[in-house]
Amino acid sequence: MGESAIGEVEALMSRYQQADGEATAALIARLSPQVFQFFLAQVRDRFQAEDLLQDFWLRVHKARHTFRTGEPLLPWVFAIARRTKIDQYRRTRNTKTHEFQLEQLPDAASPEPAKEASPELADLLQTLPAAQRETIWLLKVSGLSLEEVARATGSSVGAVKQRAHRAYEKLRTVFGDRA
Amino acid sequence: MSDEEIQRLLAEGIELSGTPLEQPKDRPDEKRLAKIRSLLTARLGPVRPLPSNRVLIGIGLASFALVSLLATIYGGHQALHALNPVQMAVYFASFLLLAILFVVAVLEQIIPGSKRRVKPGVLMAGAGLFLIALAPVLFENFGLDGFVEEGLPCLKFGTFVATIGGALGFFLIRKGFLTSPLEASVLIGCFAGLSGVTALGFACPFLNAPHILVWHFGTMVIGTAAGALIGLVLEWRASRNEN
Repeated sequence: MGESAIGEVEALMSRYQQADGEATAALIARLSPQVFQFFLAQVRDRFQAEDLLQDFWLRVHKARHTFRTGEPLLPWVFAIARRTKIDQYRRTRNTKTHEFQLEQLPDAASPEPAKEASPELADLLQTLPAAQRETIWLLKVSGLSLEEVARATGSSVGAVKQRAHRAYEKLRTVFGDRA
Repeated sequence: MSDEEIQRLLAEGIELSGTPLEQPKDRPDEKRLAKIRSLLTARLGPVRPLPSNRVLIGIGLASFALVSLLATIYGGHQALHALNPVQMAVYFASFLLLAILFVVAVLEQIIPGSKRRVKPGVLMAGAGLFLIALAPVLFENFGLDGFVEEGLPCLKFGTFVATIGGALGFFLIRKGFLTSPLEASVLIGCFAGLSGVTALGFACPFLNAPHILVWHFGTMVIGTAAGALIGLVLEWRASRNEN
């Protein structure tokens, strides 16, 4: 996203705060693909990623007053997306803890196989721990700066650099093994 | 590692596999997007964005001062007659400085994507160590006469003030969005404890170091522990709730 495009999205956000329906629809159209990709990279399941996206937008709606004009929008967006993902992870973990398999479900009820974002990129990122995967995704795919990733993840720029560095060390090894 | 080095590494990463990595092109389902649009537009109403950081810091500090000072109506201000001017200046300036840092840290917790200037863990550990070091330097009396009998009422009073401060704090942070309910709650608990310590600073005339270390600063420990418990409950609820 270029600088003018970012300014445009922030303007849409301001209009969304003023209850402008058109701006709301435009904002959803502009941000959803990026946030959806972020979720898809973490959960690797289309349906789950779409559920997360819907949950994310409901949270954005509740928290929309916390965005202030002049502040960067993407760290705000990804901070909420990140929280949505954490809660979903815990919810899934709780469900799995309390679930036990009674019998094999019929094939018809099985979810459609996950369609991956990009086999090459997704496969590579799956080799990384969650925090490093998230950092690399935000930096490389979502195009956030180090400062923006630090804001989105609630950490320092130094910590982001360290995670990115470790992720790249690991990716180098993976690339080496594949070569 | 410099910014430039990281950027170079990131750029190199794309090429390391020999072929450029394919960027994802998947989009969310249009029906789902339409559902999200209808959900949001059905609930659409104008909102007033949060005020500037300066205003919010002012509100936080005013609330802290209000709780600590109102507590003196109930607890009195006997300590002001017992403290010498240097003790008074250093003691209350320290509380004010810590209160500013706590307000900034809490503020960063309730606004998503905020720049993190104050790390909650570092702040709480630093505040604890600072106060532990401050008490023996400022108060040279180390007597233990009536340690428990005089201490317990202080702890009760401090905890009572901290409870009011904490309730006000949790009410105020509901105006924001918590990206980490646990961190925010622990911070609020510790900060509420500080309001109890400050109220005791006005009210309690027993100026000996062990008394202040255990019974006054103990309020912050209780506040932090209570904040952690509330935070765990909030995290648990968040992981159960479906929107």
